[in-house]
Amino acid sequence: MVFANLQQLWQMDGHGPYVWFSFATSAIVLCALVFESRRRGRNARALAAAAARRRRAENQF
Amino acid sequence: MANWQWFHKWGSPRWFYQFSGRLLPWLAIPALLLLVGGCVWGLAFVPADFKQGNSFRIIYIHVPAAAVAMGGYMLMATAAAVHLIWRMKLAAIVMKSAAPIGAALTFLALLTGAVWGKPTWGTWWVWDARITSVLILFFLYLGLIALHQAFENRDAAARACAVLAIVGAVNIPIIYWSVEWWYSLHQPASIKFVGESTIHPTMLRPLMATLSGMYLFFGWVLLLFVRAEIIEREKNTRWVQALVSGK
Repeated sequence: MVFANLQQLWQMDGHGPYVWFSFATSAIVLCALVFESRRRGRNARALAAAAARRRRAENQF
Repeated sequence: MANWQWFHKWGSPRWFYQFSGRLLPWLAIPALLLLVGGCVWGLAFVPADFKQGNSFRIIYIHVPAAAVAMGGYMLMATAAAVHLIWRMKLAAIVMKSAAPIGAALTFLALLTGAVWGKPTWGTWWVWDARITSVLILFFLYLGLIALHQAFENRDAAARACAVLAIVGAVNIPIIYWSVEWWYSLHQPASIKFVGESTIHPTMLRPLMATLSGMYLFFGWVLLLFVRAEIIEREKNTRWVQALVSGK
């Protein structure tokens, strides 16, 4: 590590707030993309399952 | 005729859904390893830049986000052209799915660029050619999302979005060459396809890790969006109903 300790890593000679904010925001946005894609997948599967149930019910009567 | 079989296969949502399912772990795991590893490497194990100090470390997220936002747009424009020429359903799905990911990455590029600009240039924002053309890219992505939602007819929406995506592709070379064509606070490209890169190898290696990680991440999330859209569009077909019923 190029920093002597964790405090120096956190402060980065005064640039810490800029650097850590950028990385934290990026992590949040990337995680949000993954969650959103999975949410869409779950919703689509739920819609398809409902359509399958309807078709089965129609076939019974 | 046999040479075109692969093309028809790629046009089948069912085949693509099954194929992409096998691809997902090969994209997700390397993407996360490269992104996390590259960020830790760049944050803690690379010496500070002699001019910019530690603020330069934002490069490890800013450049990959910007590069993949541009690459994602080119992919979207290519899918748009394929959809317009061959009426391929899957191309329309890829085009629609790429837009929110591209918008999010362009937003990240703009935000991290502004945050990097403050300690480096003394300002959050300047209306220079590079930043303005990236802002236009962001609006193009948002415009595509809005345009798709404005139509009730899915085919009409895909055709209109395809035209907008293709026309908007002219912005990509403008973004890339803007720092050469106009005076800008941005430095010219440090990583060159032709000729020697002007960034030191100790700084370049983690950047290559996060850059390739971001491309893989884009591929992974794009496949997740595309698979969700395929299921939604094909929900009344037998293969999807068998899939969700676990048969």
